[in-house]
Amino acid sequence: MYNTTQKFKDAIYAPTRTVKGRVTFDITDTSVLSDTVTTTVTSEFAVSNKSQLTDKVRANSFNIATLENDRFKLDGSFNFADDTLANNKITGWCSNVLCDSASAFSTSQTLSFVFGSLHSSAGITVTFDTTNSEYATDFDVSAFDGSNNLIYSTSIIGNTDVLKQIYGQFLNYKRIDVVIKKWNVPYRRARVSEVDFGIVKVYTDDNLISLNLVDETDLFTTNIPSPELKFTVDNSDRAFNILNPSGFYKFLQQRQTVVAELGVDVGGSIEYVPLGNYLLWEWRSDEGSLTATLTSRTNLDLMNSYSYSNLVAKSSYSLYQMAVDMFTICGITNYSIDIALQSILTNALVEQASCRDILQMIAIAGCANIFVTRDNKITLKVVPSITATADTITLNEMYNEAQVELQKTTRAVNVTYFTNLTTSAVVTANSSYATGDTLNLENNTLINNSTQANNVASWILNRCNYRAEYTMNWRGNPSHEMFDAISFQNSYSQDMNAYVTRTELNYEGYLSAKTVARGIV
Amino acid sequence: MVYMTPKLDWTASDFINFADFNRIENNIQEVANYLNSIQYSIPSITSVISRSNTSIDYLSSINRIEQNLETIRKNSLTLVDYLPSKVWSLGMGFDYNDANRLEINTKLLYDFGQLAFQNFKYCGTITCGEEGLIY
Repeated sequence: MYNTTQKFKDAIYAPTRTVKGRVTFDITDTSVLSDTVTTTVTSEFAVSNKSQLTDKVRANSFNIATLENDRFKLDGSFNFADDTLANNKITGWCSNVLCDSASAFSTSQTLSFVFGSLHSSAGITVTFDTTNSEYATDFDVSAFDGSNNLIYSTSIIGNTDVLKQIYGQFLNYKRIDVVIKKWNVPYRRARVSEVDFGIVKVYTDDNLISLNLVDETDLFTTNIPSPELKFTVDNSDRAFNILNPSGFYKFLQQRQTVVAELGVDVGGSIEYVPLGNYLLWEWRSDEGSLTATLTSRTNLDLMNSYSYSNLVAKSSYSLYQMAVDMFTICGITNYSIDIALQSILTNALVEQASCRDILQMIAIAGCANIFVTRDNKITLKVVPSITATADTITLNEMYNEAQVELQKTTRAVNVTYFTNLTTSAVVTANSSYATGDTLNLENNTLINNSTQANNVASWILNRCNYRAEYTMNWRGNPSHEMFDAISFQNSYSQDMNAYVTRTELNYEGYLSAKTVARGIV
Repeated sequence: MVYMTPKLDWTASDFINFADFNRIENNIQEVANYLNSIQYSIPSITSVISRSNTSIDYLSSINRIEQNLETIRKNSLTLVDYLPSKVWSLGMGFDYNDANRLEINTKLLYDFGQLAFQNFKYCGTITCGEEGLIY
């Protein structure tokens, strides 16, 4: 379960609640992201990290207290900086000098970005201090070609936005300069969280029509579904229309970043829960309805694009190490692997398959499940039996009482293990049921001995005990993650405990949800 | 420097500035100096009173301030209304209660020092039996 404050926990189940949706869509040329960029700045404060200006993170980890006039508010929102800069995590860039009483910098603060190759984009987006809603009122943005000749320049006067998009024809540039001249508060340092070399659009209730998230996992890891986020935005300005020459359509690319959040009013402010970082997959303008619908998925889907094979047996090689190698091949760094997989060895013999399929084989061989957490971490976890529940859904939260469907009983599980790619044997685990299905696991070449095959067979039999599938339509809680153990009320006395295996969140100015959970009968 | 009038009514809507931290540290140092001047043995403490609006206080700074007060308390007296100190780590929010606590604790120690001095009675300060009848 995603960690939230007590205020959030109270507000999300309050009789009346205000839920807000927010989608941040980064329409940046994906080639910019893979290029090297050298950042130089006029000055830099001690608690600042200019390299984070292009890290795609637009919020600081902590609200670091400094002693500029009337900045350090005593409402508990400010933190003292750690003496070690790295411990402060995301700080963004902060100038070493302060502006004057008229909010002007005596020396303009310049952020200069030099790329390895030429790029073009529909604009630039500068994100200032999102934590304290401070921004530059007057600043210039200039683009230079490969010979350092000025090719485009624009001056922004009287800006009032923390996240400011600067539209323009930024064509074939190699260097971008952002020159900050005036801040919105006197005696302040300039602070910039991020500079995006493209347009970053933030959709909120003003222009976000709907948001739909389908998040799913599989109890047996027989498949590894990738969460899918679909959102519909106001397109009355026809920005997403194909034929609009000044629209975004020509700049849309697969794998552009989409960050979705759902928040609840916790007494004057909105506490957001991330729904994950997604990659744009499909888009269409909905002619006639003046809306555009965009579909995005996680980087689990990316793993389909990479393949792997190994025909030479490895020694002293664990499932954990093999999972790390699969993520490395796919360039994925945000993952979590259960350390239990470190003690399970494999000879790693696999015929040509996608990295996603191999990750599935690793998970099954390690008796683990795969899901993506709210903070976008692909997780391989050996899920323990339910001992305590993370949350309770009362009847007050449900539109109807949960429907229960009993899955078939399983009589036996056959698991094939492979001493090499052509030599195999089968072990069988029998359940207490005299009748029922027999499940066969036949092609997982990462299971290499009878002991591990027996472990896998027992694990599958154990999973088969979770026969009761509960489906409930209810008010929803975005902090629920896959395999959270939840308890939910029914009209009888005993609350039922189950794992969350599927969540559908629908936001259209209000939040509703459909949750599927599996529990022991 | 001299002991400066503390601010004891911080609220959540207030901003604390460099001059306020300078005053807090100055007052802690003055309390230590005063108690030493009336024969207490407060170990040496390090104080910073030169902040400007370009300064920053790190975790080590606020923990030093807390420790300075603790040093004085441990080597003098724990007063009834004295509030416990904190050990600060990354992510802990500093609010008006903390500002009030630092200033109130300092004032309590300062007032205690003043009272302690006023209650010193040296030999010969009080005489009795030289006038009138003694029953």
